[in-house]
Amino acid sequence: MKPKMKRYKKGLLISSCVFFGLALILCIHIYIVTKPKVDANTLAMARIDFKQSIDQQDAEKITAWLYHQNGVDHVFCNKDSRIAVFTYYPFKTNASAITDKLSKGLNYKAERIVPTREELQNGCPAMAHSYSAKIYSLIKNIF
Amino acid sequence: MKKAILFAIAVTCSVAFFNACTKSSSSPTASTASLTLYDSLGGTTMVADPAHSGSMIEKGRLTIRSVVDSTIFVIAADTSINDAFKVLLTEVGQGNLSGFQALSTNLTDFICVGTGAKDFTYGGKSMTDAHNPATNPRMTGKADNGDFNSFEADLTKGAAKNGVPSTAPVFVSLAKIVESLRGQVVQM
Repeated sequence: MKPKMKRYKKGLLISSCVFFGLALILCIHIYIVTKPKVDANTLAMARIDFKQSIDQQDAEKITAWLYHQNGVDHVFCNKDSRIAVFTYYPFKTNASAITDKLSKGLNYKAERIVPTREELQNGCPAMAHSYSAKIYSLIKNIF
Repeated sequence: MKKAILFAIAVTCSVAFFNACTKSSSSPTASTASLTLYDSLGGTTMVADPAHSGSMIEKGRLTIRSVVDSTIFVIAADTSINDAFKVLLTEVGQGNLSGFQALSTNLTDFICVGTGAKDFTYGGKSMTDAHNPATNPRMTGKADNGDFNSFEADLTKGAAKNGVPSTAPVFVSLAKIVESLRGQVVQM
Protein backbone atom coordinates (compact mmCIF):
# COMPACT_ATOMS: atom_id res chain seq x y z
CA MET A 1 0.00 0.00 0.00
CA LYS A 2 2.79 2.39 0.96
CA PRO A 3 4.77 2.15 -2.32
CA LYS A 4 1.50 2.72 -4.22
CA MET A 5 0.82 5.88 -2.22
CA LYS A 6 4.38 7.04 -2.78
CA ARG A 7 4.03 6.50 -6.53
CA TYR A 8 0.75 8.41 -6.50
CA LYS A 9 2.34 11.34 -4.65
CA LYS A 10 5.28 11.33 -7.05
CA GLY A 11 2.94 11.35 -10.03
CA LEU A 12 0.95 14.21 -8.55
CA LEU A 13 4.13 16.18 -7.90
CA ILE A 14 5.41 15.68 -11.46
CA SER A 15 1.99 16.60 -12.92
CA SER A 16 1.86 19.76 -10.79
CA CYS A 17 5.39 20.75 -11.80
CA VAL A 18 4.58 20.23 -15.50
CA PHE A 19 1.31 22.19 -15.16
CA PHE A 20 2.90 25.15 -13.40
CA GLY A 21 5.87 25.06 -15.77
CA LEU A 22 3.56 25.27 -18.79
CA ALA A 23 1.49 27.99 -17.13
CA LEU A 24 4.67 29.99 -16.53
CA ILE A 25 5.74 29.58 -20.17
CA LEU A 26 2.28 30.71 -21.30
CA CYS A 27 2.47 33.80 -19.06
CA ILE A 28 5.91 34.71 -20.43
CA HIS A 29 4.61 34.19 -23.97
CA ILE A 30 1.56 36.43 -23.34
CA TYR A 31 3.82 39.10 -21.82
CA ILE A 32 6.18 39.03 -24.80
CA VAL A 33 3.50 39.13 -27.50
CA THR A 34 1.34 41.80 -25.85
CA LYS A 35 4.20 44.04 -24.74
CA PRO A 36 4.05 47.20 -26.88
CA LYS A 37 7.07 47.35 -29.13
CA VAL A 38 8.22 49.73 -31.78
CA ASP A 39 9.32 48.25 -35.08
CA ALA A 40 10.28 49.65 -38.46
CA ASN A 41 6.60 49.91 -39.54
CA THR A 42 5.37 51.71 -36.42
CA LEU A 43 4.07 55.12 -37.36
CA ALA A 44 3.23 57.67 -34.66
CA MET A 45 1.81 61.16 -34.72
CA ALA A 46 3.16 64.25 -32.97
CA ARG A 47 1.76 67.75 -32.59
CA ILE A 48 3.67 71.00 -32.28
CA ASP A 49 1.90 74.15 -31.08
CA PHE A 50 3.40 77.50 -32.01
CA LYS A 51 3.26 80.14 -29.30
CA GLN A 52 3.33 82.93 -31.85
CA SER A 53 1.30 83.81 -34.92
CA ILE A 54 2.34 82.17 -38.17
CA ASP A 55 1.31 83.06 -41.71
CA GLN A 56 1.03 80.96 -44.86
CA GLN A 57 4.69 81.51 -45.67
CA ASP A 58 5.69 80.29 -42.20
CA ALA A 59 3.39 77.27 -42.55
CA GLU A 60 5.03 76.33 -45.85
CA LYS A 61 8.52 76.84 -44.41
CA ILE A 62 7.71 74.67 -41.37
CA THR A 63 6.14 71.98 -43.55
CA ALA A 64 9.15 71.87 -45.87
CA TRP A 65 11.56 71.78 -42.92
CA LEU A 66 9.69 68.90 -41.25
CA TYR A 67 9.57 66.91 -44.49
CA HIS A 68 13.32 67.31 -44.70
CA GLN A 69 13.88 65.50 -41.38
CA ASN A 70 14.88 61.86 -41.47
CA GLY A 71 12.06 59.56 -40.32
CA VAL A 72 9.22 62.06 -40.89
CA ASP A 73 6.43 60.58 -43.01
CA HIS A 74 3.68 63.17 -43.55
CA VAL A 75 3.18 66.77 -42.40
CA PHE A 76 0.25 69.16 -42.09
CA CYS A 77 0.54 72.70 -40.75
CA ASN A 78 -2.55 74.79 -39.99
CA LYS A 79 -1.62 78.48 -39.82
CA ASP A 80 -4.99 79.45 -38.33
CA SER A 81 -4.71 77.15 -35.34
CA ARG A 82 -0.88 77.55 -35.23
CA ILE A 83 -0.51 73.78 -35.07
CA ALA A 84 1.74 71.45 -37.04
CA VAL A 85 1.08 67.71 -36.97
CA PHE A 86 3.31 65.10 -38.47
CA THR A 87 3.65 61.34 -38.55
CA TYR A 88 7.06 59.82 -38.02
CA TYR A 89 8.78 56.49 -37.50
CA PRO A 90 9.81 56.24 -33.81
CA PHE A 91 12.24 53.54 -34.92
CA LYS A 92 14.20 56.22 -36.79
CA THR A 93 13.60 59.48 -35.00
CA ASN A 94 12.30 61.23 -31.91
CA ALA A 95 9.50 63.82 -32.04
CA SER A 96 10.79 65.82 -29.05
CA ALA A 97 14.22 66.10 -30.64
CA ILE A 98 12.61 67.28 -33.90
CA THR A 99 10.61 69.92 -31.99
CA ASP A 100 13.75 71.21 -30.23
CA LYS A 101 15.65 71.28 -33.49
CA LEU A 102 12.79 73.17 -35.17
CA SER A 103 12.63 75.77 -32.36
CA LYS A 104 16.34 76.40 -32.51
CA GLY A 105 16.86 75.99 -36.26
CA LEU A 106 13.93 78.10 -37.45
CA ASN A 107 13.68 80.28 -34.37
CA TYR A 108 10.01 79.68 -33.54
CA LYS A 109 8.47 79.46 -30.09
CA ALA A 110 7.26 75.89 -30.46
CA GLU A 111 6.13 73.25 -27.98
CA ARG A 112 5.42 69.59 -28.50
CA ILE A 113 2.03 68.60 -27.05
CA VAL A 114 2.13 65.30 -25.18
CA PRO A 115 -1.26 64.28 -23.75
CA THR A 116 -1.56 63.36 -20.08
CA ARG A 117 -2.75 59.92 -18.94
CA GLU A 118 -6.14 61.43 -18.01
CA GLU A 119 -6.56 63.01 -21.42
CA LEU A 120 -5.86 59.68 -23.07
CA GLN A 121 -8.67 58.02 -21.09
CA ASN A 122 -11.22 60.46 -22.52
CA GLY A 123 -12.51 61.38 -25.93
CA CYS A 124 -12.17 59.64 -29.25
CA PRO A 125 -15.17 57.31 -29.20
CA ALA A 126 -13.77 55.38 -32.15
CA MET A 127 -11.14 53.91 -29.81
CA ALA A 128 -13.81 52.23 -27.67
CA HIS A 129 -14.04 48.55 -28.49
CA SER A 130 -16.69 46.00 -27.67
CA TYR A 131 -15.68 43.23 -25.24
CA SER A 132 -15.84 40.61 -27.98
CA ALA A 133 -13.46 42.67 -30.13
CA LYS A 134 -11.07 43.10 -27.19
CA ILE A 135 -11.03 39.32 -26.59
CA TYR A 136 -10.56 38.65 -30.31
CA SER A 137 -7.69 41.14 -30.44
CA LEU A 138 -6.04 39.59 -27.37
CA ILE A 139 -6.31 36.08 -28.81
CA LYS A 140 -4.98 37.30 -32.16
CA ASN A 141 -2.00 38.82 -30.35
CA ILE A 142 -1.28 35.71 -28.32
CA PHE A 143 -1.39 33.23 -31.19
CA MET B 1 -40.50 4.93 -77.28
CA LYS B 2 -41.62 5.97 -73.80
CA LYS B 3 -38.04 5.64 -72.59
CA ALA B 4 -36.81 7.82 -75.48
CA ILE B 5 -39.37 10.54 -74.63
CA LEU B 6 -38.45 10.44 -70.94
CA PHE B 7 -34.76 10.62 -71.84
CA ALA B 8 -35.39 13.64 -74.13
CA ILE B 9 -37.36 15.43 -71.36
CA ALA B 10 -34.59 14.71 -68.84
CA VAL B 11 -31.89 16.04 -71.17
CA THR B 12 -33.93 19.17 -71.98
CA CYS B 13 -34.53 19.85 -68.29
CA SER B 14 -30.87 19.32 -67.47
CA VAL B 15 -29.71 21.70 -70.22
CA ALA B 16 -32.28 24.32 -69.20
CA PHE B 17 -31.23 24.03 -65.54
CA PHE B 18 -27.54 24.24 -66.43
CA ASN B 19 -28.12 27.31 -68.64
CA ALA B 20 -30.15 28.99 -65.93
CA CYS B 21 -27.35 28.44 -63.41
CA THR B 22 -24.70 29.72 -65.80
CA LYS B 23 -26.70 32.84 -66.65
CA SER B 24 -27.40 33.69 -63.03
CA SER B 25 -23.73 33.49 -62.09
CA SER B 26 -22.32 35.47 -64.98
CA SER B 27 -25.08 37.84 -65.96
CA PRO B 28 -23.60 41.36 -66.29
CA THR B 29 -26.91 42.87 -65.18
CA ALA B 30 -26.79 40.98 -61.91
CA SER B 31 -23.20 41.99 -61.11
CA THR B 32 -23.85 45.65 -61.99
CA ALA B 33 -26.89 45.73 -59.74
CA SER B 34 -24.85 44.47 -56.77
CA LEU B 35 -22.05 47.06 -57.14
CA THR B 36 -21.39 48.70 -53.81
CA LEU B 37 -19.82 52.06 -53.00
CA TYR B 38 -16.75 50.09 -51.95
CA ASP B 39 -16.58 48.64 -55.48
CA SER B 40 -16.71 52.12 -56.99
CA LEU B 41 -13.84 53.16 -54.72
CA GLY B 42 -11.67 50.43 -56.23
CA GLY B 43 -13.18 47.34 -54.66
CA THR B 44 -11.23 44.19 -54.00
CA THR B 45 -8.62 44.70 -56.74
CA MET B 46 -5.28 44.09 -55.08
CA VAL B 47 -2.65 46.82 -55.41
CA ALA B 48 0.72 47.48 -53.79
CA ASP B 49 0.42 49.11 -50.37
CA PRO B 50 2.51 52.30 -50.44
CA ALA B 51 2.72 52.32 -46.64
CA HIS B 52 4.11 48.77 -46.36
CA SER B 53 6.56 47.86 -49.09
CA GLY B 54 6.09 44.32 -50.30
CA SER B 55 2.46 44.01 -49.13
CA MET B 56 -0.74 44.25 -51.10
CA ILE B 57 -4.00 45.96 -50.17
CA GLU B 58 -7.48 46.13 -51.66
CA LYS B 59 -7.80 49.27 -53.79
CA GLY B 60 -11.08 50.24 -52.11
CA ARG B 61 -9.48 50.03 -48.68
CA LEU B 62 -6.44 52.00 -49.82
CA THR B 63 -8.68 54.81 -51.13
CA ILE B 64 -10.65 54.91 -47.88
CA ARG B 65 -7.51 54.76 -45.72
CA SER B 66 -5.93 57.65 -47.66
CA VAL B 67 -8.97 59.86 -47.06
CA VAL B 68 -9.20 58.77 -43.40
CA ASP B 69 -5.51 59.52 -42.77
CA SER B 70 -5.75 62.95 -44.38
CA THR B 71 -8.87 63.67 -42.34
CA ILE B 72 -7.05 62.64 -39.16
CA PHE B 73 -4.32 65.20 -39.93
CA VAL B 74 -6.92 67.92 -40.43
CA ILE B 75 -8.70 66.94 -37.19
CA ALA B 76 -5.45 66.86 -35.19
CA ALA B 77 -4.74 70.46 -36.19
CA ASP B 78 -8.32 71.71 -35.74
CA THR B 79 -8.81 73.30 -32.32
CA SER B 80 -12.61 73.02 -32.54
CA ILE B 81 -12.46 69.23 -32.36
CA ASN B 82 -8.92 68.01 -31.57
CA ASP B 83 -9.37 67.95 -27.79
CA ALA B 84 -11.44 64.80 -28.25
CA PHE B 85 -8.70 63.16 -30.30
CA LYS B 86 -5.62 63.51 -28.11
CA VAL B 87 -5.29 59.73 -28.19
CA LEU B 88 -3.85 60.27 -31.67
CA LEU B 89 -0.68 61.51 -30.02
CA THR B 90 0.14 58.32 -28.09
CA GLU B 91 3.18 56.54 -29.38
CA VAL B 92 2.57 52.80 -29.04
CA GLY B 93 -0.27 51.13 -27.16
CA GLN B 94 -1.95 47.75 -26.94
CA GLY B 95 -1.45 45.63 -30.04
CA ASN B 96 1.75 47.52 -30.88
CA LEU B 97 -0.16 50.25 -32.67
CA SER B 98 0.30 53.95 -32.04
CA GLY B 99 -2.81 56.04 -31.40
CA PHE B 100 -2.63 57.30 -34.97
CA GLN B 101 -2.43 53.79 -36.43
CA ALA B 102 -5.19 52.44 -34.17
CA LEU B 103 -7.59 55.27 -35.05
CA SER B 104 -6.72 55.01 -38.74
CA THR B 105 -7.40 51.25 -38.67
CA ASN B 106 -10.68 51.60 -36.71
CA LEU B 107 -12.11 54.35 -38.88
CA THR B 108 -10.97 52.65 -42.08
CA ASP B 109 -12.60 49.37 -40.96
CA PHE B 110 -15.79 51.22 -40.07
CA ILE B 111 -16.05 52.99 -43.43
CA CYS B 112 -15.02 49.86 -45.37
CA VAL B 113 -17.86 47.91 -43.76
CA GLY B 114 -20.27 50.84 -44.19
CA THR B 115 -19.51 51.09 -47.92
CA GLY B 116 -20.05 47.38 -48.51
CA ALA B 117 -16.62 45.72 -48.14
CA LYS B 118 -16.90 42.01 -47.43
CA ASP B 119 -13.36 41.23 -46.29
CA PHE B 120 -13.24 43.40 -43.16
CA THR B 121 -15.05 43.64 -39.86
CA TYR B 122 -15.52 46.57 -37.52
CA GLY B 123 -14.78 45.64 -33.92
CA GLY B 124 -15.79 48.91 -32.30
CA LYS B 125 -18.97 49.84 -30.49
CA SER B 126 -22.07 50.88 -32.42
CA MET B 127 -22.22 54.62 -33.21
CA THR B 128 -24.96 55.11 -30.62
CA ASP B 129 -23.08 53.30 -27.84
CA ALA B 130 -19.73 54.85 -28.79
CA HIS B 131 -21.11 58.39 -28.41
CA ASN B 132 -23.20 57.80 -25.32
CA PRO B 133 -21.35 58.70 -22.07
CA ALA B 134 -23.46 56.07 -20.27
CA THR B 135 -22.14 53.21 -22.40
CA ASN B 136 -18.74 54.62 -23.31
CA PRO B 137 -16.72 56.06 -20.41
CA ARG B 138 -14.35 57.67 -22.91
CA MET B 139 -17.11 60.18 -23.72
CA THR B 140 -17.07 62.79 -20.96
CA GLY B 141 -19.96 64.67 -22.55
CA LYS B 142 -22.39 64.35 -25.42
CA ALA B 143 -21.37 65.45 -28.91
CA ASP B 144 -23.41 68.31 -30.32
CA ASN B 145 -24.27 69.36 -33.87
CA GLY B 146 -21.29 71.74 -33.90
CA ASP B 147 -18.89 68.84 -33.22
CA PHE B 148 -20.47 66.79 -35.96
CA ASN B 149 -20.33 69.71 -38.41
CA SER B 150 -16.62 70.16 -37.61
CA PHE B 151 -16.02 66.46 -38.27
CA GLU B 152 -17.82 66.66 -41.62
CA ALA B 153 -15.91 69.81 -42.59
CA ASP B 154 -12.60 68.09 -41.73
CA LEU B 155 -13.64 65.01 -43.72
CA THR B 156 -14.31 67.26 -46.73
CA LYS B 157 -10.87 68.88 -46.34
CA GLY B 158 -9.25 65.45 -45.93
CA ALA B 159 -10.86 64.18 -49.12
CA ALA B 160 -9.86 67.35 -51.00
CA LYS B 161 -6.25 66.81 -49.92
CA ASN B 162 -6.49 63.44 -51.68
CA GLY B 163 -7.82 64.98 -54.87
CA VAL B 164 -11.45 64.04 -54.14
CA PRO B 165 -13.56 67.21 -54.40
CA SER B 166 -16.77 67.53 -52.41
CA THR B 167 -18.75 67.47 -55.67
CA ALA B 168 -17.40 64.08 -56.79
CA PRO B 169 -20.21 61.46 -56.87
CA VAL B 170 -18.15 59.09 -54.72
CA PHE B 171 -17.69 61.74 -52.05
CA VAL B 172 -21.36 62.72 -52.21
CA SER B 173 -22.30 59.06 -51.56
CA LEU B 174 -19.80 58.83 -48.69
CA ALA B 175 -21.03 62.12 -47.21
CA LYS B 176 -24.60 60.79 -47.28
CA ILE B 177 -23.53 57.74 -45.27
CA VAL B 178 -21.73 59.95 -42.72
CA GLU B 179 -24.67 62.35 -42.48
CA SER B 180 -27.03 59.41 -41.88
CA LEU B 181 -25.09 58.79 -38.64
CA ARG B 182 -25.78 62.26 -37.22
CA GLY B 183 -28.78 61.07 -35.22
CA GLN B 184 -26.69 58.32 -33.59
CA VAL B 185 -23.71 60.58 -32.83
CA VAL B 186 -25.55 63.71 -31.67
CA GLN B 187 -27.65 62.57 -28.73
CA MET B 188 -28.71 65.93 -27.28
